Amino acid sequence: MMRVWIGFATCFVLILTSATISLAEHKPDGDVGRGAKFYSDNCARCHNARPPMEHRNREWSIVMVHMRIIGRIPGAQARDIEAFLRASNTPPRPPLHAGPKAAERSGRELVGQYGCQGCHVIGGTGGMIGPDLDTVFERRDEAWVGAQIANPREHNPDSVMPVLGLTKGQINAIVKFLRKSQ
Amino acid sequence: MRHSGIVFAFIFLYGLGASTVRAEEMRDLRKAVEAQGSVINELREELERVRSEQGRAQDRVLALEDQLALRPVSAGGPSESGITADYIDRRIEAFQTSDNSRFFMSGYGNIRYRDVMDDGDIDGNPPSTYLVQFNPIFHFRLTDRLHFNSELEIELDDGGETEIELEFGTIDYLLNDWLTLSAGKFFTPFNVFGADLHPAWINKMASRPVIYDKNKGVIPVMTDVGIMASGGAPLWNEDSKLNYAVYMGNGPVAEDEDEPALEFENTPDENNNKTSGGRIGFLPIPNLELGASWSTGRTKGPGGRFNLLGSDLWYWNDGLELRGEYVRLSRKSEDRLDKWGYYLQVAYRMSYYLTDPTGWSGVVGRFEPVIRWGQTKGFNPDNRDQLALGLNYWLYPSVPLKLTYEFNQGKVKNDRLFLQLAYGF
Repeated sequence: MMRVWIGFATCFVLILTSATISLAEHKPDGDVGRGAKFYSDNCARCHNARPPMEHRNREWSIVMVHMRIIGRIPGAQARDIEAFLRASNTPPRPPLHAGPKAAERSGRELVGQYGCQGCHVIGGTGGMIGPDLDTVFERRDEAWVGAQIANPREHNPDSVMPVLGLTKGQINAIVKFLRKSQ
Repeated sequence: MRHSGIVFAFIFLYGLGASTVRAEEMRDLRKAVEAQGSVINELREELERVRSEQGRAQDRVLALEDQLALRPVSAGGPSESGITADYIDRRIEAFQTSDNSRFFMSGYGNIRYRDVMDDGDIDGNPPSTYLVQFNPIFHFRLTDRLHFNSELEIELDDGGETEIELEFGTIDYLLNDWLTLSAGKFFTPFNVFGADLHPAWINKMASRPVIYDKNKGVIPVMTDVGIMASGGAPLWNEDSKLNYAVYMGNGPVAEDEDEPALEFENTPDENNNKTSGGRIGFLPIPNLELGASWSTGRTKGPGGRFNLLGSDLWYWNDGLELRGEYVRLSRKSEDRLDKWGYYLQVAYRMSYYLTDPTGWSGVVGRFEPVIRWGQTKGFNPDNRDQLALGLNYWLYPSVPLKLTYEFNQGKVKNDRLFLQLAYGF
């Protein structure tokens, strides 16, 4: 019986301590780029990465809590993963007043913004869910890579890569950046 | 000379007049420019306002599109003759995906064929049989911090009976980013196979590792009823991480006072003595995890104290996955009853070698050869050495078709063949 009381006392102290921390906790929205990396790091520990389009955003927000609990994923990383899944399911539409500046966004920025390194090795670092993009042009030409970014199921119907909803100019910028970084 | 003076006077007067006129023009011009500047500023503000309104309009359009997509029922209702299957499907979809929905169902299942070779199944099971299992998992979000999760296991067993069991059912409170409190029935956080890897679509073999064998292993897939605190936190950078879980529960039941095996049926605590334990996992880099587990308690009967110690390893690199677990069970009866075992498993996903997802490379890339070696040793005379060879074909990231052959060497030779189609949803 003593063990039970010690257990309860320990839990009480833990709760009290954590409640204090949680009051000061800052919960920003998740980061898509970091989410792609954590998606690769955490999910693959136990199973294949599930395609983001398997569930709707609302469903992911429930599933991610379950995964956070059983996978012991830190809350901030779980929110980043959810942000990545949501972004993958909801391709950003170009703004109505998109000006030339949007088109000028560099391939490097886009690669960072969309978290490509979460799944692909680029410049020597990145995840391994997808193929190594440092060597992609040894096997493929620019048109093939561009088509793959535009529609990941173009070449493989089971691809887990999300549809990013990029414009032609943005895709070209990414392809050029990948080509330059070879 | 006089003429010159007149000319200079004239030029002076003309210049004076001209400069007066130029200065006035400049003032007018400055005023005009300033006026234009204010007009431009007003236009700029107007443009920003219009852009802002456009953005809001775009958001409203997107929201309306989402609402339309989330209300399939509005597209049609039950026919005059009654409720149609289509209508029910739409209602279910609307329930699951509504913005206000807090419920979601996931799960997994499998169909498995097992054939026992040689001396027959030492566990007394039929020599060859099909098995089917379905595990729905229900998730319900009560609030952002409070969740309810439960899993049922519905299994058609060897005897032809359908068994329904509550695999887990917990109320979870997300206290902060690093701590979750759970109460109810949960998978005991001891090593990783029982808690995380046993679902058929996740387990890379069609059978369990020898240490988790239902009858002759060291421990089963353990569950307990009680309370648990768990969570994870990044360490020196976001690539390194620590995760933990500690629990207290009813604990196991001793099968036999002279046998080390324990049953985790989670009956009410038979001796009013709670079991406690936990696991700590350490990831110095994202693709390497080292874990240590323990569990201790007392079962009914004289000298019923038991101790479980475990450790686990996971490493992944470029499609190659290495897993291993060790477990040691000690019970102090009149004699010390110890049993221990381990397994090591290596799997390789061919798609990491054949990076071309098209044509034959795409087909071959879906294969995953697996090899597993394990042993159980100790008090139980039925110690077992097991070598298992497997070949998986991934029809989908959560649907493997698995072929597994086990070479079992113990008191009797007991090889087994498995063919399993598993799915997660």
